[in-house]
Amino acid sequence: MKKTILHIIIILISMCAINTSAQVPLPLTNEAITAYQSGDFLTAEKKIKIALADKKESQYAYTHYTAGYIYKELYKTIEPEKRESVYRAKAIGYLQESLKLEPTGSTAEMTKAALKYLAVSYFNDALRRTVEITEETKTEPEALYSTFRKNMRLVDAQTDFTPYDIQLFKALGQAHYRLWEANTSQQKEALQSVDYYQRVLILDEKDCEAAFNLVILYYNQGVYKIRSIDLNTDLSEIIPLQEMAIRYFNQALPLAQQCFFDCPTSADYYKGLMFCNRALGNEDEYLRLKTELESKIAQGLIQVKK
Amino acid sequence: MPAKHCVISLLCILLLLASKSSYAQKLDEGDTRAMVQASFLFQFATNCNWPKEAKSGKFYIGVLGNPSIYQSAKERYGAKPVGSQTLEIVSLTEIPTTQFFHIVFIDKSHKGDLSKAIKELKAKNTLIVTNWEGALGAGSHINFKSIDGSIRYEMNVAIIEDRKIIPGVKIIQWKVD
Repeated sequence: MKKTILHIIIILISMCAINTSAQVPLPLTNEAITAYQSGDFLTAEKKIKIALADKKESQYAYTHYTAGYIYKELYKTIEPEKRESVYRAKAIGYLQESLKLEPTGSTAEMTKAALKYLAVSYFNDALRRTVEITEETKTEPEALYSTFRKNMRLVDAQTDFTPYDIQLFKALGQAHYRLWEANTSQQKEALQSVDYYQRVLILDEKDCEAAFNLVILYYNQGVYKIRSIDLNTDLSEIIPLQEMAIRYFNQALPLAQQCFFDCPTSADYYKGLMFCNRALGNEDEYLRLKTELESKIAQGLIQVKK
Repeated sequence: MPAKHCVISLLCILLLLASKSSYAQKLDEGDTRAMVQASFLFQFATNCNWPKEAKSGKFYIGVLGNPSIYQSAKERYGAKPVGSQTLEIVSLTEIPTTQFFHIVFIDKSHKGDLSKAIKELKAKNTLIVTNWEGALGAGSHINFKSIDGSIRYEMNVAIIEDRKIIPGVKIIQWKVD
């Protein structure tokens, strides 16, 4: 599926060639364009460097816009997976300069389109980075996202970042949850995960995914406290550990209720509410929900994920 | 120009779709109430002193009803040492009358078996543990109760001592009235 999407992207991108209809004769820039159009991006880079060094041609937005497009192509063909791609950084630099020199008009429109493409590539890098972050690299996604926002604002100062914020915060919430799960003594990771999910809920209080991930986070922290009781645990430690767990279960319960009542019916939301009730000793409610869930599954009203 | 904008927008959407994270958090389905009760059973085993004649062979805990407590106790404490004895957790279907058990746990789903347990185990050094309201008054030795969601236990020290089992200081210290 991903390969198909990538193929479509490549085909579509190839349609976005440089507009060759410059208003002013710019021979050096045009030489770069010729190389670009023949697919020889490295020669195009050499040519555009000459154009940019030219006192006259470097004054035109079109020259910078062309440089931006050439470096964008170099990024796409040579360093597409490289987060620190120098080509991408250069492309953005030249496109920004082009916009500065000519904030409106046809070149500006095409410049913005290219800038948007590159900005989104930073957003995608930010999302990808969340999947692989470690203790050492956990600030990188936000840094990449910051570059995305900065460039998107240049494309459109009125950009609504809410959907992007939500997507990134959820991914970061999951990333920090993963770090906590890998080392449950790292309480700060759990707190960081809570913080990201809460930020999603500030932006959209009805976001079921964020609310339920918070249920899981709180509930599992409580379970972890109980699971930490072993044969070396002194009797005097069991009760405080239980009380810590109860605090987590009490934090999870209202969110589990919110998911259960306000989100589309699902086995997960049933289980969230069932387990919170069971953990808090509300066994009758747990059994009532369990029976109801089993009945709905039997009637085919709820599908269970395999 | 507008066509190109459409292309760029489509690209953005496709790129966003392509990079969506596939990681999913999952609820830990473990029964924490069962884990805590299993832990307390182990604590009762290690913090009470049984008479000499019960200190040889294995240390037996029988669980009647509540498979979650049995599973949890077996997984976490099965084959672990209790003093010089090795702990064995046994799932019961009825009150044992022949084999000796140091501790018999009766779940509330088997309330009706308490009176039989009291009668059958009266002459034995068996600690009877239950988990429902009123069980202590009905003759149980230690009964779990829920206080603000937390599992605690009440106990009848006199009847336990009558069975020649001496509850440790900690066990008595943490009981509730």
